[in-house]
Parts: sequence; C-alpha cells; structure tokens
Amino acid sequence: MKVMARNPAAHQRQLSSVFAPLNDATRAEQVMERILSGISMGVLTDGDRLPSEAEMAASMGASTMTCRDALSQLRGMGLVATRRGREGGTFLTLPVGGRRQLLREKLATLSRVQLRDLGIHYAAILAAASELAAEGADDEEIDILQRLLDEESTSTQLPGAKVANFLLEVAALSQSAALTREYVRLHSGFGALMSLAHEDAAFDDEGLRRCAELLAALRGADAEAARATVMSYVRAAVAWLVDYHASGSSSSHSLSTKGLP
Amino acid sequence: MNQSNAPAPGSNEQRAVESYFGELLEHLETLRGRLEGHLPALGEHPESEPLDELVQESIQQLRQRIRLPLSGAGFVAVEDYLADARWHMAWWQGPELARRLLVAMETAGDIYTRREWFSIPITEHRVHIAGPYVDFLCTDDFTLTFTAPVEIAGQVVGVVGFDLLVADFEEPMSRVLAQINPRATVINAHGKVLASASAQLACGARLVRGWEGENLHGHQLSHADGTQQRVDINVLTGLPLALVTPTSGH
Repeated sequence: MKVMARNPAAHQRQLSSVFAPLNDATRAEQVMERILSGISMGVLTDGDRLPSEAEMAASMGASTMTCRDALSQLRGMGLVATRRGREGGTFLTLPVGGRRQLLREKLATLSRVQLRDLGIHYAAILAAASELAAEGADDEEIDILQRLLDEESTSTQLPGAKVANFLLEVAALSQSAALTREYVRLHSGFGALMSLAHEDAAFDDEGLRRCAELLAALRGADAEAARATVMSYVRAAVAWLVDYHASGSSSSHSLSTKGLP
Repeated sequence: MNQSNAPAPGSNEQRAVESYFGELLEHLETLRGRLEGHLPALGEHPESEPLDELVQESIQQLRQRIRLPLSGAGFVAVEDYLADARWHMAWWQGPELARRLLVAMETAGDIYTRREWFSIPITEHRVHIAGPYVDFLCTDDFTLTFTAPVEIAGQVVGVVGFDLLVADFEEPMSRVLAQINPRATVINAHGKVLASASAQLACGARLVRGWEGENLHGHQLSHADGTQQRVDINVLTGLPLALVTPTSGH
C-alpha cells in the first residue's frame, strides 16, 4: 500500500528522469570527447604525446579497440598523428589557434540563454565550495594558495591557467568530493570557455585580483565575502562571453564536425 | 589553557589508538624496506621500467596483507632520481591496484612538491599521514594519504605510500574510539577530525583551532552550537595525530 504523500510535479519530473533516453554516445565517442575536452581545457597541447592505446585503455577502463577507433577519428580530424619507431607514438597536431577555434565553435553552438545558464551553474558550485573552504581551510592550505598566486606565470601557460589552478584548489578545500568532482566537470565545459575571456589581459588581471580577494576572505574565514567575490568573477566572465558571443565571432571554418562536450 | 607535562591519564586508551595506526604504519615500513632493499640493484639512477615493476610487485604484497581496502599505492620519485625522467610517479589505483595513474609529469612535479604527503616525509625524514583532503589528482575522493621517505645511502630518493578513502577508514576507526569514550576523537596536526566516536563530528571538521601540537589538559573547546567543553589533548607517540577526550569531571 502506498502511504507516502507525493508532490505530483516533483514526482512526475523524477519519474521521467528515471526513464529518460540513455546517453547513446558510443564508447569510442566518449573517449574522443574526453580528448577534445582535454584540448579545450589546454591540458593537451600541440606536440603532446598521448598514452599508448593499451595505457589509455587500462586507464579509462575501455578496450584497446575502442581507443583505436577514437584515435582514428581524431586522426581523421587532423588532430593527432601517429609516428612509428622507437621515438614513435601518437602525438597531438593542433594548428596554431586550434584550441581557440574549438572553443569558438563550442560557443557558437550555444544560445545566449544556455550560456548564461552554464554560468549560473558554474557560479553556484564554485560559490558553495568557496563558502565551505572559508569555514574549513587551515593556515597551511591557505599558504599553499598564496604561493600559487605569487608564482610568476610562465609564458607557456595558457591564458587563465593561474586563476583556474587557484579555483580548483579552492574547490577541493570545500572538503566535499562530490562538489569538487562537479567543479572539475564544469571546469572542462564552462571553465574552458572562460579561458577565451582570459585571453583578454584586462579580464585576466581582474580575475587575478578576484583571486587575491577570495584568498583574503578565506584567510579571514569570511564565507559571505568568499561567495560574493566568486559571484562577481563569474558574472564578469559571463558578461564578457555574452559580448563576444553577440559580436558574432563564431568560427569561419570548422576544425571538427561536432561540438565539444 | 593549562599545559601539562605529566604523562596523560588513560594512556592505555591512547595505546589502543596508537596500535591501530601502528599496524597501518608497519605495512608502510615493510613497503619502504622492500624498496630500500631492492632499489640499489637498479643503479644510482634507475630507469623507470624496472622501477615500475619493483613498485608494482611491492604494492601487490602490501594489498594482500593490509586489512583495509586501499584506493591507491606506489612510489613517487624526487626530481632527477630516475635516469630517464625528471619526475616519476609509479602509482596504481582501484580495488586491485591494477589501474596505473597517468599524469603529465612535466607539470605534476610542480603540483605534488607542494603537497604535504610529498614534502613532509622528504624534509622531515619521517612518516606522515596527510589529510583528510579531497584528492583531485589521484583518488578523486575524500582521502587520507600515508607516506614515508625512501632513503638510499642517506639520500631521500622519493616517498612510498598508500591512499585510504575516508569512506573506508572513518567507521572502523570510530568503533575503536567508541570503546574509549563516546566523544573520543582523533585529530591531525591542523586540529581537524580524522575520526570520532561521536557520529555527529564529521571527518575533516576543525575541532581545535590554533593548536600547536602540544599536550593540553582541560583545554576549552567552543562548538559551533555555542556549547563549550573541556578536553584533554594527547599527542599519539610517533604519529602526527592526537587523541582528544573530555576532561574527566566535566
């Protein structure tokens, strides 16, 4: 006998999510999308040697056949090349500006409302993590953040890399694995788009200033200030991206046939 | 705040907790000893391949002997120890420790040299228990990392260690603590909770603020709910941890 009173709307929404269409991307597509997201995050760059098919398969829990398929599709897109011999392997062959091109294509597939919504989701996760970090971080952890911020940026670093590294460390200081994982996931999506804004030196400076502000809030165990700082930063990034999006700076030619994950 | 130099009362209880961690650290010692015994045969600056084989064999032995499930284990070399890599991380994950951790070692060095689990064993030549922390490099989970320095001819060449998930550690540990006192709690060097007999005291919560690592008797704690409590804090012998129990009579 059912005795539980149910909120009909919420119940209906949850029920439909149970039977929602499954993600029908093949395993090979998932491997490929991971590598594309690695490129757009800037963790995989031109000339990088990818792990061997066997290493990739062991690490991702896929078959070597699946990884081979994924690599062959990327080869077809001109994003990797395989060389034989002792110094051989599969290497990333990303044209100059290729990463930016992939990001612009991704941005062009989004509507303005989708873009704003991604920003809201990203801000909510980061703000919650920052509040918890303000409550929980100890002095040593805050000193690590300080050193990270004080380090000289190297010219090989991608735009926004310092801010991104800083924010990832902050997310982990929430002491919530679920929040950190969600932040990492969003970071490879909306976070990668934010790196377009960080190519603008004025925006990047503003981002670094916000990080210093956030650090001060964490040091003072001021959760409210931490939240406010993070919200301002993300709001500024969304505003920048909406402008960029509206100015129609979408791709002139296509690198990939499909959008990024 | 009263400082107490006298041996803590109830040190039998303290020993029960020390022996719980002592057993875990013995496994770490065995792993360290095996590597220190076998590494010299690989030469002053080993190649990564034979080193990986040695580490993999050693951590499989560890996995079979230790009673808690490990989420990762291995060896991380100091800069330029290996002949063929500036940085090297021979680390395996998953329930069988069969999944090799893939990291971009050009940048990983910069990341892990900052971490407690790497820096403390190297600079202080002692075992360390780092965490609880969210480890977004390896386990992707709330983690404790046990590490020890590996020394060859007086030189530290790297650290060995293993990861325990808080999910696997917290409840067995709290059952040990419950036999001491319903509020007995183990804290780390930062005054954060590792585990507590009290189910409401979360792993990772900051219990003792501004603690300098000394034994304290009758230390006053102010809880978030406004209540206050006097506790004794006793550093556990040979461990970067302390046992916190309510001061008797309070």
